[in-house]
Amino acid sequence: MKTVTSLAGTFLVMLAASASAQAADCVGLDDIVQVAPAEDKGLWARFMSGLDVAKQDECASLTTVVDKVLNRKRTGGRKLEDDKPLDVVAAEANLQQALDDPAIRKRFDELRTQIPDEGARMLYEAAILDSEGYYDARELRIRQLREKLHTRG
Amino acid sequence: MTQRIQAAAACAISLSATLAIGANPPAGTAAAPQVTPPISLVVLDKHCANIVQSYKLSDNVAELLKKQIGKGVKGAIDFIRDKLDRGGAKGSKTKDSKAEEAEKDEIDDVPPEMRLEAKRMNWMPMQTEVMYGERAHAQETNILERESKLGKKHYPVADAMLAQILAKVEEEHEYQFQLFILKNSTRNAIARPGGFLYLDQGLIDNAKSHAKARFALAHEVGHVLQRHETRELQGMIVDSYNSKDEMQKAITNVKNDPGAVLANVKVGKEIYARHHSDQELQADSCSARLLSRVHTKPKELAKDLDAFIKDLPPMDGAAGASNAAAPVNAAAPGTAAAPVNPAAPAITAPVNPAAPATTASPAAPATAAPAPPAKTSKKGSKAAKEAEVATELAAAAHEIVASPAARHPNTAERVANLDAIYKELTTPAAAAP
Repeated sequence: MKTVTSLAGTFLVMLAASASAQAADCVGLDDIVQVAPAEDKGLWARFMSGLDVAKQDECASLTTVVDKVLNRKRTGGRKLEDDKPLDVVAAEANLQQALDDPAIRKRFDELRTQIPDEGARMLYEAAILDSEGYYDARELRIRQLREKLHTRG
Repeated sequence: MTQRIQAAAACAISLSATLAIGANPPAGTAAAPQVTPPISLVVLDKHCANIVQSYKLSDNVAELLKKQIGKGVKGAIDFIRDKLDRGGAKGSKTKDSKAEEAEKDEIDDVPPEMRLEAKRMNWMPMQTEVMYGERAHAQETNILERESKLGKKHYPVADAMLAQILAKVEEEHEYQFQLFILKNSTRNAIARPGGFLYLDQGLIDNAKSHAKARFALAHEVGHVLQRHETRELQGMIVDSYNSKDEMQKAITNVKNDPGAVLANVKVGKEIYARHHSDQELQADSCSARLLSRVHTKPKELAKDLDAFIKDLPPMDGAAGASNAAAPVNAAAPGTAAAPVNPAAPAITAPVNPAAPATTASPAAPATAAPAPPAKTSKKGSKAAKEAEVATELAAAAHEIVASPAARHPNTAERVANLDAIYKELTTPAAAAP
């Protein structure tokens, strides 16, 4: 029994090390997640522990999405015009368009088994949409996640 | 295009009076009396006759001295520059406290008109400006990577567009522009100090948006070459070293006359908002001027300006309409003129004392409590009056906090301005170099 516990412990350490190694490749992500509100720490821990399912080239997208969800403040800059609010109808159409792509559909299906936590999964889905250029759909997922967090709070 | 913007301009508020304050009159015209602008109303070259502002620190300090602004402002500038170079307050600890106190006294002595000049001039060293821009850039996490699948597709288009515009900046400058695409489907653009430019992917990934993309890029290049953001920062720095006495006065006065203190803050905020808005109009003008160099035919210039105008919000003041206002702006001249001075509400809203009353509740919990029912007795009347005053004050306070200081000009203002610059650029005599 002792051996089993020890093996399980080793496995968990290896798993954590593996996840940590993947996370380390997404430079700066750890730092961004640190600013998450205390009440959401669980979600972010579940998100970070699932990093090994992400592809390396999705790191930039994960950073984008996490930053947006945490709504970190931008500094400076002169915009051409005021930002326009998200057109939800257009965003839903954009999401449908993304899901019509078999490759994206497959990734979403895989995520459903790999990331059981719905909130964490939404973050990964948003990152996939970001990396494929479906930005309105990404914004929609982020909005849905925010609403979910807000409702729970 | 001309017809459309002329028609729209006809109903737009005239800004010329505001913008021309302090500007040099054109040759051959009678010199208008020079009016000193209130504070940092620095946008005096509204049609962007000079695409590049004088950026050499030595030129500007020399200019300051030539104007006999003297030791006071120079002392303030040296002090601020010293602080910036050495990392702000942390660096100042190394300084002898007496010397620092002496410098502070010198700054406190700077009269308002000298302070104004310090805001108008460009004196922030280029190195500091770039550092400021880099710091902001480092926090931007929505950038499309050049080496990504989409980056490889879109960057060449955006780079070519920027190269085309920069090739027409004939004036000397030291900026090394860096262009980034933001992962947004929208069609916005940003400039940050030091030459950092950002275009939404939505401006690039569809050829139909390229005319607006050109305008946007030239507009942002204009912001950088005019050093708009940097000059606002300068203004804030200069103001931050002026406040000791004024702050004391304000704190003392707020007990006796809270209304006056709030009114003062409100006026200051409105001037800042106006100034920020003027800079946007100037950047629009710079964009038009740069594009007039890119295009050989007025029709091509009109196409780029029109693409921008079509994407602005509707003229009726329904801000933030998501349907992109094209139909309203693209309306026939007759219909575009329908709203009665559509620009006015946005400009006058903050000053309108009636407006806040409808929106006061969120920020004014205690003081904005409903006034007691009206009574005929003197006591009741006094209480009602006091409650009314308290409500007004609470509303004013809310408005100061809630209204954005850095606002864009409204559609009518932008259209009127572009109409004027378009006319200037396409009139043969004026277009000649």
